[in-house]
Amino acid sequence: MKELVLNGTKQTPSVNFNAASGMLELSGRSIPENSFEFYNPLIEWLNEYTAVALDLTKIKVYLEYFNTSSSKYILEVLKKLKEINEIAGKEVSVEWCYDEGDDEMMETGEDYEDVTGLQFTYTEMEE
Amino acid sequence: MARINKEKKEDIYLDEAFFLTRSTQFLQEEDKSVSETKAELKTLVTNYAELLDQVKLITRISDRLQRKLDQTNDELNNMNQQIQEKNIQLEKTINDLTEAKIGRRATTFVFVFALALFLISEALIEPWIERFYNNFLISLSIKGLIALSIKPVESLVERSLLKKERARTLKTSEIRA
Repeated sequence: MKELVLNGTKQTPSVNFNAASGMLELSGRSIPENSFEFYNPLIEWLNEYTAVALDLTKIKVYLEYFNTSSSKYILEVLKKLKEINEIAGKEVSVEWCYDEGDDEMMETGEDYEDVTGLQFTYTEMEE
Repeated sequence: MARINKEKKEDIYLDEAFFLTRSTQFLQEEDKSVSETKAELKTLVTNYAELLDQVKLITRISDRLQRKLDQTNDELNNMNQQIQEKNIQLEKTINDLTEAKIGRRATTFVFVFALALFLISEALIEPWIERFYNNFLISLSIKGLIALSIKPVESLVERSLLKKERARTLKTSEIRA
């Protein structure tokens, strides 16, 4: 399965989804003009990945800022991972990174953890 | 048509809209068994619960982001105010420094002017008074007038130099802009 690599821009986060290593990364700022256009390939990639998922899939999310529609799609991404966890029976861990002192972003991670029921770890990144 | 397609494509609630349409169509159909109705209601309730979770989550996140934006905005406003205050202070300091520099230049000019007047007075005016009037009081008065003219000349020179300096600064800032 092909990797999904997208370079980040001022409006979109960088994406590095690697099926071979089971390491997925989403980082940067997410305020795309068309969230569907940006996030749909990620959801489709995850749909494919569900069938070939490794025993352990790790996703690192390090977002500086995201808009409301992105928050919906981030939830969709995490729900796909929950499917891998529940239906395919594979382990999924989420590393939620946030800037030093950005308590709002940490709380947002906690909200996602509550809703998805996935296992989250929190990392405060030094500036 | 293209616009409708675009709107559909950009609709982030496509799945939810799909289930709503399905349930609406189900309601319009007649002769549905109890078990079919229950199954449809179950799907609807599941989707509703999921949607409610999403709405709660997205509302919390949006409120938090709004708060974060407000804080950043306040910080920016404070910084902007501080920059403005510093700018006023800087402008005042530059003006004071310019005035001091001009003042020194004017003093030097007036010193040279006074020296020249003294030399002129001693070399030309004094002999002329002695020759035609030979009166101590007239000589003292003329010298007094010359001495009194020094201060207005200093002010005049200072004003003129300041005007020139300001015009120069304005021109430089216009070129930079």
